[in-house]
Amino acid sequence: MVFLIARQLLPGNPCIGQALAAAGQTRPATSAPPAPPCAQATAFSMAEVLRCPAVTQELYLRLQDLEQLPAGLPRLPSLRRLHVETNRLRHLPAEVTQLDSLRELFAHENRLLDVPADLGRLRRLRQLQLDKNELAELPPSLGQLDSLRFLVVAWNRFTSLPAQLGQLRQLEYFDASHNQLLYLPATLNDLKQLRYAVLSDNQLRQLPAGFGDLPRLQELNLAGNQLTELPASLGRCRALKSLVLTGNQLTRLPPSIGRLRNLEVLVLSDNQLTELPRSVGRLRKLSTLIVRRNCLTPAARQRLTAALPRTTIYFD
Amino acid sequence: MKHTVTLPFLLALGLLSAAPALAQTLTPLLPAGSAWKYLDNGSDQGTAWQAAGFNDAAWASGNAELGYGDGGEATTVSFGPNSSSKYVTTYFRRQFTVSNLAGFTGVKLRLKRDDGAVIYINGAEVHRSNMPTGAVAYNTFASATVDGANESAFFEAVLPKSVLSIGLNTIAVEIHQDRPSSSDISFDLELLPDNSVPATTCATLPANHLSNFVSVMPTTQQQGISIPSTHTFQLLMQSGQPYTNAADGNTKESNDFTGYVPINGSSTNGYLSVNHEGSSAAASGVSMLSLNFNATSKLWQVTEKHPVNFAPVVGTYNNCSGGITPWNTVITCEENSPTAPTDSNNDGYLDFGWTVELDPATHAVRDLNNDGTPDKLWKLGRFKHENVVVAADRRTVYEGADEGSLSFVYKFVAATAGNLGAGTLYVLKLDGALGASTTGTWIPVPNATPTECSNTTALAQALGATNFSGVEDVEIGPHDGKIYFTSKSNSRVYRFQDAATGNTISGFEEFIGGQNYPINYGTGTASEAWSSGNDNLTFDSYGNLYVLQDGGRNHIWLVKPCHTQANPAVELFMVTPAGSEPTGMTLSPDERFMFVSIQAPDNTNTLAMTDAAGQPVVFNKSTTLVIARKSELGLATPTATKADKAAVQLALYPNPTSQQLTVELSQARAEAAQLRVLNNLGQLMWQQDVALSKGANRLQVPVSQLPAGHYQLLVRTATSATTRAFIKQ
Repeated sequence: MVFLIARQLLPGNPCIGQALAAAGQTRPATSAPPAPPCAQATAFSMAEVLRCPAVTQELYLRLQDLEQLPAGLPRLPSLRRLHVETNRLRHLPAEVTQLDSLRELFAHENRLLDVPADLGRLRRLRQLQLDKNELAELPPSLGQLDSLRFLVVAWNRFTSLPAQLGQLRQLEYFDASHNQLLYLPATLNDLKQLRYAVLSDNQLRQLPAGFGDLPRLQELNLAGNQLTELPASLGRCRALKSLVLTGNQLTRLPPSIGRLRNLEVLVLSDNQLTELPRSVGRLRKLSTLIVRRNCLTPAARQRLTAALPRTTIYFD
Repeated sequence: MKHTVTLPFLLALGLLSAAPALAQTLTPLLPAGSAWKYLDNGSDQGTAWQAAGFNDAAWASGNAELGYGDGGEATTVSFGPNSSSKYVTTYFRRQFTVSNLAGFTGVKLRLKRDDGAVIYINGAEVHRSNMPTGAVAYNTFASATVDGANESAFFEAVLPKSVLSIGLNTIAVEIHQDRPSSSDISFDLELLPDNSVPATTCATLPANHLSNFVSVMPTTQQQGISIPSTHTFQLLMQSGQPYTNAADGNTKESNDFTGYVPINGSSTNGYLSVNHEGSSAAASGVSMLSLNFNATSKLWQVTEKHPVNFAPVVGTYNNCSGGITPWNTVITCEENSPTAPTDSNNDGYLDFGWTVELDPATHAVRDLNNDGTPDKLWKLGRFKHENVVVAADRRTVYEGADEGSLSFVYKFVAATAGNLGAGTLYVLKLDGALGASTTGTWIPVPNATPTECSNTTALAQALGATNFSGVEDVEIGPHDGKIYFTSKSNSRVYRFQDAATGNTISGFEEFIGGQNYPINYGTGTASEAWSSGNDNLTFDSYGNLYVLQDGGRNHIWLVKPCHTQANPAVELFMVTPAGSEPTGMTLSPDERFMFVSIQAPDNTNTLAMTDAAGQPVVFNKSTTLVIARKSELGLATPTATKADKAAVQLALYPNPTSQQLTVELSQARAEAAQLRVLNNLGQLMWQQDVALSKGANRLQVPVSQLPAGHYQLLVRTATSATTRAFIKQ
């Protein structure tokens, strides 16, 4: 069993001696006080969990140089929050998917190569953080996480996402930035509760046809992709307040952008735009428009300034 | 390329006797475009190639610029047979002669590197650029992609002239790709005499000033703290201690910003605000202590301890560092990762990633717009905040983002002095590449609406802000008015002059970092690597800058105001306990007392030190201390700590040595020990288990196989770890 001992176990932890013994390590020089009864709902080591598996609700194993979690992770019927971020984990044990009460799973900043295929069994999971790992794909069972509100998978190696992503009907926040995504699943349109979407720094050349039936979407960040155009359907994102498109290859915007009546921030820096559609004049709530480093003609600049008198426009 | 130099320098060189003060051209020590030997076969050359005596006769040669892929090369080198898997490292060497070292104070290095470089002169590393800290191997990638203007820029640094010898010198350079598929590499280099900052003598501090001390000897972390022998400490708080009101539970872990707030300007009566940089909203927060100094016992007393109630602003997350305002409130900063990013109370602002102003007396969040509801400081923007510093004008705030490639420096100017609830936000854009540009512009960043405030980083990026790779603390020099800030990934402290009017800055330069500094610890001088992780900054009123390190060996350094890279003036204030990072720090207004925290030391530390109050302190949990000179803190009772008494009496000779190092140590009892030899990167070079006898012990360490250089000998027992520096010739 490879289980590196925590660097930051909480002080006075009565279970450390057991943990060290279990891991085949030398017992430290300190003498452990008698173990108290199982009353703590929060554990900061596997030893504490092993002593009190039934009552532990939160388990913090962050920043402990862990290379893997011990095989035979016990049933933890009460565990709601699991922190294993900022370690060196390559895999999550299969037993993780048996944590029936789990609400929040923090496994970011590891070296994960995969996640359990039956991850979707975590039907109560509301928050899943897998960013800054080495993941190349997500299992289709992801779609079964029907309680999931927050999904962060940024800074991995994804080139695509499973179509089942669209089944996450409760999803409010989705961050898949800093991957190698070539395209998005068309089912993204099914995320009717989505409010924040961060898809920046990928390799997207286009958005799915019909993308835009996202009635609650407030913020959409697509900076640092290869988009050459946007679908007209984007204009159906009526709740959108912030649209960031820095660093793409856009040569034109669809006239339907004028339908984004709630848009406050529109960022178009570092594209190939020569003009914006006249319809932007209908963006009455637009407070900030950034169009630095495009190819706007002097006439196009004048038209913009005239069309958006209440908007602060950054041309340079 | 020609450079200009002014009269005093030429006079010093004897090149001008009496002439008008006209700028003259300056002859480089090693010009750009020189011929270099190079090895471009993708091989692992280990470290032998760095040495002056290495035989590079079989290497190819050609004039700089050397490289491939961007069209500017005088000599094209090979990237190997596979364009999608190019060689990571290409090696370069050449010799050059220096006939005179008089008349200049340093050596200006001008380096064109795409992507990263490590430079050695006469076998010793003198500089690295865009490379990770620690050991570098032939398959180590550069830290970041180099593109745009940075591909052809010459990055400048000033080296001590002691890196050169009169006569023949050897320079060796390794250029590293940032990834196998990168399209190009570039290399050229120039060395010039530098006299830009003449050597100065630091002002003498008052004899009893906190910052007047003899450095501690640099070592690896041990179980306790090591501070100057003239100073002592007192424990104020450790994690897990109960709050005053039992219902509030215990103080949390990961003590961070440690801000002393004086009451009516007092240096003996105030509040201490301690951040807890937790991994979740539940583990984060701020503890507010009330404390005063008893003139009779000469000790501090903590009279109350309360958690700050952040419930009205839906909690805080990762309370990292912070600042004290001129109007004596506390600002705590959320260095959040995107955990639970939502607007749970539907006020238009995302919940986390802000700065928050606290009233220390009520330990509550301030209501800035007098609507009856506390507010976070929305207008200062949402990003991964480290700290803030508020200028004496009560309106201007400087802050930085520790946010990877989006690590920007910001300025906020409040509409009303003393109220940070409204104002204009700016982000710094240098006029050229970092390392080459000395001027810049503040770009306004929209912050009128909640949506704009929540998207600060995206807006700043779109407006062309300069990335400083992990901005940590930002402070204002009390002696020069310059803005100083740490770049953690670049392992540098930068500084610049903000214009009194208008939106420009000037004099942007590197202040410290990126090299070894001589530390005179009284009985010797050690060359200590600045290494990685410069983090929190604190000035005293004389301009002495304390730098707290989260990386490397986690020291607390002190950099004197007269420091230059060519003429270092650096001291070492503390070697911190094993596993910990020093955080904080603030000083009392009279600068008699320093308040600092030791974040998350190893829980296996068992050594008990005795503080100024006579209480044993084991650094096995996050700990907040006050430190002062011994004359200021505690009575004149024995102040030697148990650690001092138990310290191993250890001597090494000969030092420097070439074949054998003799170790003599005196033991209070017989016990097992381990001897380790570490190089200046902290890498283990040799170790041996030994059985020590009670009394005198004499041991031999074979060093003949070690490359020439600086090393540390570590003697570790079950209860102690003692380090001594030695030099292998």
